[in-house]
Amino acid sequence: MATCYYEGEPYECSFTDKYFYPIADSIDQSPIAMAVKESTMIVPWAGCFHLLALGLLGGAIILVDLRVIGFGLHTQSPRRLTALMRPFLISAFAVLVVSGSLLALGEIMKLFYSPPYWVKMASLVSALIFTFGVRDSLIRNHGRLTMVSIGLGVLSMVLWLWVFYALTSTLARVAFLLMAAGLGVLVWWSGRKPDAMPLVVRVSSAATIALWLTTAVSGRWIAFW
Amino acid sequence: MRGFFEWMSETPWSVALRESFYVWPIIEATHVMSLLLFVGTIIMVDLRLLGLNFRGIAISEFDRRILPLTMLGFALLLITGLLLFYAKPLVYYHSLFFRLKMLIILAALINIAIFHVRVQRDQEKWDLADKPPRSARLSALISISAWILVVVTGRMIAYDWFNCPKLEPGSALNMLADCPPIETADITE
Repeated sequence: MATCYYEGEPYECSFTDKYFYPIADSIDQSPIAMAVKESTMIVPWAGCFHLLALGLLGGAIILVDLRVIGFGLHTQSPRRLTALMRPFLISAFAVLVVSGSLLALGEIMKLFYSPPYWVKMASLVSALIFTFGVRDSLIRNHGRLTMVSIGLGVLSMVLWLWVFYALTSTLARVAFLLMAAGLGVLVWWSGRKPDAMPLVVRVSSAATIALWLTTAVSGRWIAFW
Repeated sequence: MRGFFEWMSETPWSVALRESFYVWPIIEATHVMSLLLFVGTIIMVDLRLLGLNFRGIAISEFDRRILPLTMLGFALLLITGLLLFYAKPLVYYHSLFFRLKMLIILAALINIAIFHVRVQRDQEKWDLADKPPRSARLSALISISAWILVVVTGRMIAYDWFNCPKLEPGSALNMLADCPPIETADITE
């Protein structure tokens, strides 16, 4: 607990309210946030670009990771597909960050107190670390784990566990477990083929799909909270 | 037609669906997530047909290995979309963005039909071509533009700029949205 002041009067407030609320408030009052809030067109168009970039990101992830777990362009190696999809993944991500920032500037104070928003951010960081630090490394090294990728994998999984812990509703936890179980079945099923990728690569691809899906679903849930 | 949707919106399941705390958001979120599968894969198929990516990979491999994923995505979008419509039939019936979206989907489906029946007929000849013939590239360009517009108009349904209460009675947009007479206009919201 900390002490905040309202018109000179002290009162008990949380650490977050004392140190982070003023930051959120100053972003909310900045000229760019004001411009976003005053415009009737910025938020709707940012929403459209956000969705389109989400679709592109979905394609870039699906073509690589579903290929690893058995669906997709099987004449191509996952390694080549990863290289082909990387520019799309990165550009989709760039558009998502820019459009997402504009969307956020329109409702900073709502997001500050929005659990789905913070779940999404944690999941997003976890997805980024995992995709580029673990999945890409595994595919590049034919399933061999490097020390760096193990470290990054642990880091992103800790973040993801926090996400699961932060899900406050039973419904969300059930959905999360169902998604994990579904992908687990796919990983098991894809291992029965003679030309299957090594287990660790298949697991990492399933985790990549799950991480981005968690990010997208919690992002959508911001609107419903 | 409006009478039918009015009846539909009064059915117990429709009321229950739109008033539900979790079910409606779950269906809506599933609709949006299916977009990753559908738009994500169709963009890649179109990019191949445009000759912009995936050089050296047979187009027939996309047909066999990627299009089933696209169709699965479309099926999910269709099922969740129908449920969303069923929950609020009058809202969507009178929404100009929704009507536009349906027209663009129709155009996109006709484009797909033409592609299968006419353009793909001699596909063996250009299956491995880095740059498919003009007709195939045109189909892909129409497809990619149409689906982008579908996403945009779909997102815009959420905004009420062109909803019946804001449209001048007797104006062209008012007629295009089939707005009811003023005394019942609030039913559309």
